[in-house]
Amino acid sequence: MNLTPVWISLQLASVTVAVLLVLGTPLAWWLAMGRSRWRVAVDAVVALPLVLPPTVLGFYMLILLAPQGPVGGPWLAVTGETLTFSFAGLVITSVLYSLPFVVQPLRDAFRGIGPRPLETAAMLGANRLDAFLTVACPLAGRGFVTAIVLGFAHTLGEFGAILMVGGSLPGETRTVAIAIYEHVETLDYAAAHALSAGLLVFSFVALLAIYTLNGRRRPGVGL
Amino acid sequence: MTASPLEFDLTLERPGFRLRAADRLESGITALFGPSGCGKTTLLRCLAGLEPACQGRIRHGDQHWQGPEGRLPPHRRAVGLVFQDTRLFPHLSARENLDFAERRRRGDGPGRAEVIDGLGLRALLDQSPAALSGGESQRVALGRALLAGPRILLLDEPLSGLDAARQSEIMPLLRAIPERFGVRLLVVTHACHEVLSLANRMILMQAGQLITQAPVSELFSAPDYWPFLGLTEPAVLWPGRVVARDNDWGLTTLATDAGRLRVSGISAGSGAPVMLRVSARDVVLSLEPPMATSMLNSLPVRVETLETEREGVVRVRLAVGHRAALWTHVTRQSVAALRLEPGRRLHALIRPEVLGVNH
Repeated sequence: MNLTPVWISLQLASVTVAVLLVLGTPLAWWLAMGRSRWRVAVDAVVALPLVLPPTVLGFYMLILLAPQGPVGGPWLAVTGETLTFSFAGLVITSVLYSLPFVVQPLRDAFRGIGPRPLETAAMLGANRLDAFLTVACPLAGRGFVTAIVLGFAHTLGEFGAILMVGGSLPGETRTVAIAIYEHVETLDYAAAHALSAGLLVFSFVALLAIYTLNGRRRPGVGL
Repeated sequence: MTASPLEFDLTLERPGFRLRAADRLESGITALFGPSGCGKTTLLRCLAGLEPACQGRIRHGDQHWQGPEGRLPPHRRAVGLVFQDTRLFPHLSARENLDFAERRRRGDGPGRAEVIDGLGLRALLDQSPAALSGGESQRVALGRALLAGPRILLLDEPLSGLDAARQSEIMPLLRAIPERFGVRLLVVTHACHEVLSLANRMILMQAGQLITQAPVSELFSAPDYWPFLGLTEPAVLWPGRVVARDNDWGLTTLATDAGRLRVSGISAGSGAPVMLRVSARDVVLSLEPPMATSMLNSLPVRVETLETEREGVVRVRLAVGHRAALWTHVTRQSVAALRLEPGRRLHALIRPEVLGVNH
């Protein structure tokens, strides 16, 4: 059996989660602690991928990332490559698609910590960044685990949006979910079974890990 | 480790609440006293820089913490704040909580060993905060705050939530901080006995307003402030010092503004400061120098004022020596029998109560 789609999916999920941690952590912090009047609107935008049909997201991404599009055009000019039907395009799409799965657990974890530990840190001489890194992040540890696991698992299961942006190029954009679809189309049920069972088991184990972890929460450390 | 004064003049407006306070904190321990909700904690938070809405000026020596020039962020002020709920970091052990503060200390301050031994923390170091009792958490939080090297330590009700035994364990540790570590304390409390046994100076607050600030003995002796302090029995406070000890009888002689007094129940050595309270009910007047009574202390006094306290009872203010005063109640009949009037000289038998000894 061809395992290339599995590697592509794992790579895509890893890169997506890494990008989301870098971009999503400050965003989640701002959503949890900020006092801006834009906060509610941004919260709603972050939650959009939860309710939008993946094809809608995929459609808009296709327009944005196309060689004539507002993002795809400059990208083509700078790198000489197109974003559509490429791994890079998949990453951009997945980052948006999995955004709420990473940002929301982090936001709730930061909110659960509240301002008090940070005030305490300031009273002990820690500046804001120092307090964020040494107090808020460790206290939000479970939130990070949840965000990483959910973001990873959700990206692995992505189908509609990346099919529209990336198509199904073997070795480039054909992920596990798309490979399953293709196997079914070609009536190769054995291969479809193997990949589907793999995704099913992985997703179950990931969720079991989160729920087990959260079941043992300590008082004072919110998720 | 010179102690620069902390001067402030602050206002904070919130719906239904207005804080207005100005004072200058010198050395020693200042009690911030007032009923719950009068703004004591808010004032501490303003001084620490944790209330962005706070307006006004704060100056520590020649460093501006807040004013028209701008604001120094909380972590750069030489201030420590021990919160009422201690707020030890739950993800760190007691030792790591101390490390956190020590790594970020803002100048010279007490050494690690000094703090650990002084507060009795050695046995607690490897514990997680969740495993510590209330008193132990308070001690660790206090040590953590000291290790951060503050010049001023703000304590928010450090004794609340502790039973009497724990209170008497922490009280001497707090009292020793100014001299031992060169740090001045501002302690929020709403318990009179904490003020009396802890502070040398106090700030009185009510409904967001700073009503007055004065040495503790002065405030507790002034009838105008008795309602604020919740005192019903007139009393005076006399600070004193141990001058001699009579081991045969277990008595200690103290020098006070009122003269020399002998009391029992003090083991402190020569020179130790002691706070005495003399309530009106513990003062008896006599025309002649008393010869044979069971009261140890008698002092020559002069009547200053007489005022009717209630039906048939008169409150008398007496001058003792040049600077001290005393209150007593007498019946109207005694006023007549002793011919009490301003200027009249007689003798007072008193039974002073020992409030606190600084070791």
